[in-house]
Order: sequence, then C-alpha cells, then structure tokens
Amino acid sequence: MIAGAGVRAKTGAAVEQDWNERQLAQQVRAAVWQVWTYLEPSIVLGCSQRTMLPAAGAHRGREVLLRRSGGGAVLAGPWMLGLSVALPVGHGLWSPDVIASYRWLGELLAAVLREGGVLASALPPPQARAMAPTDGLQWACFGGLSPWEVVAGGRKIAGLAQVRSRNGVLLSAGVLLSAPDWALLCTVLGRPPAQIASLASVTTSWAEQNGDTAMAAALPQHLDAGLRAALRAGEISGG
Amino acid sequence: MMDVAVPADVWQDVEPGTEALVEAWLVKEGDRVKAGQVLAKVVIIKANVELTAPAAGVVDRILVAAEETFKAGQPLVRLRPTG
Repeated sequence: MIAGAGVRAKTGAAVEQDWNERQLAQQVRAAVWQVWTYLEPSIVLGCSQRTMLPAAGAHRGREVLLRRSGGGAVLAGPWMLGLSVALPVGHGLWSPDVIASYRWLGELLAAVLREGGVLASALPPPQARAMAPTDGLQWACFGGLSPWEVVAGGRKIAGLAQVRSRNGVLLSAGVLLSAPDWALLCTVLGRPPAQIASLASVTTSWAEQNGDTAMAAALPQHLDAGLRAALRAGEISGG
Repeated sequence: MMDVAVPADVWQDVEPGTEALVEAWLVKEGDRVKAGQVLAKVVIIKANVELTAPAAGVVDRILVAAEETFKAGQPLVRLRPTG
C-alpha cells in the first residue's frame, strides 16, 4: 500500500524537515512521499555539521536548520526541488545496504530529468569514486559526489541523503532547477569567497542544461508521478 | 562480553576503507540497555544510521567516542550481556 503523496508548493525548508521528522517518529506502515518547492532560501546543515551553525546575528536574515540525515550543507530555495520518501522496513525498494538504498531514487531522478531533455545519469559507485572531490568543498552537499547521485555534463544536478531507523528509512533529494545563490551560502557559513565560483563550476541545473522550459513548471508533478509509479512497482516486487 | 559494530550488510557496497562518523551516543558506560535499544547514531555515506543493542546488557565500554570516525567491522561499544 502507498499513501500520503503529493506536491507541497512554495513552502519552507522547516516544514519539510518537520514532515521528515514525523515520518520516522513512528513505524512507517506504507510508502509516503512529498515533493517540495521553496519560496525563500534556507540553509539546511547535515546532522554532523552542528558546529557550523552560525552565531546568532550572523544568519543575515536567513533560516539555518539542522537536518537528521548526513552530508553537507544544502541551500534550499526557489532554485531547487526537494523530495522526501519514507519507506517501511522490508518494502521492495528498502535495502539494508546504505548505498544500494540510494540507487532507485537516483535512477528515477535521472530518468525524469532525461524526459525533459537533460542528459542526466545516476552515478554507480565505481564512477562516483573515480570523480575526485574538489578540495575544500566537502562541507557543501553539492560540493561532493556520492554513489547514485545525479550528474549532467559531469556536474552535480541532484544530491541524496537518508535516515535509517527501526521505524523505516527516509530518503531525501534536492534537484537544482537553476543556479543557486552560492554567494549567500558561502557568506552565511563564513566560507572563502573563492568557493562561490568553485561551487558553480562543479554543479549544474535544469536551466543551464537547457531542460524543456514547457516541462519545467510541471516538473514537481512529473516527479510526483514518477515516485508514485516507482513505489507502486516496488510494493509489488517487494511482495 | 559482546562487541557491537554496525552490521556488515549496511556496508555492503561501501568502498573498503571508507570512514564513518559516530554522530552521538544515546547511552553512557554503566547504562542498562534492552535488546533493540538505540545506542548511538552514526553517519555512513550521508546516511544517518541507528546502532542498536543486539541483546540486553550493560554498557561496559564505549570504544569510539562521539564525533570520532570508524571503519567497517570496527566495534563501537562493548556490552556485558544480562539475563
């Protein structure tokens, strides 16, 4: 059984993080998902980045949150689509292996991007390992590449993370629609100005890759439909 | 005594030598724990993973402190089984 699907448009990253928390607060009984678009920029740090929380007053008016999943800082905003998927333990798309768990979602994102004319692919582990990380950018989610994350033209367009608990697994993703305000991210987190250009050079977006402009506005619905189909198929294959 | 590590199947496709991080301990040495209780949260390849007690016991020794790194198969905590 699948339940609780949809697109939550022009919301805030805090609403998304709250939704994510609630999914694993109790046993996940059916696959649920949500596609997010954001009205305003927010910085969402990985669970191991507590020490990067800016001092009060250094936020420059921007929301800075700490998420439960690992990985680097994400700059959510109007330039990004977010996805959250909670799976019950034992679902057909659930895996005990942390890396295998990312595969279906990375491949789904790449397939939807390709439908829109973006030549995207999800990176199998050997390819992800072969792509050397850019020095000094590991603090940013989009500054590094992990297995099954999605690239276009060799640059990252979608990042993945997950939380695993006895209650289920929560997978999350961010897809770049247009160029993020990397200057804002670097400024708020006190990173060297040179890293603004570095982040731009290792990332790309739907707009930059000339994704279908007619499909862009409907991309959340396309992802929603893709998730529904994948989760239904996974339900069947998982018995 | 029982040494507890992150189960091997979690690491299946992870490149050998990859380091993971103990994000936080939810128990301390001397605590009595139940089977299945979450002992710690660790981060492996952007995944936050719960480390659970395989059996009831007492936490004898935390072997990898919070914010320290570890590798596949490395024990994180030693339990003294009870019952």
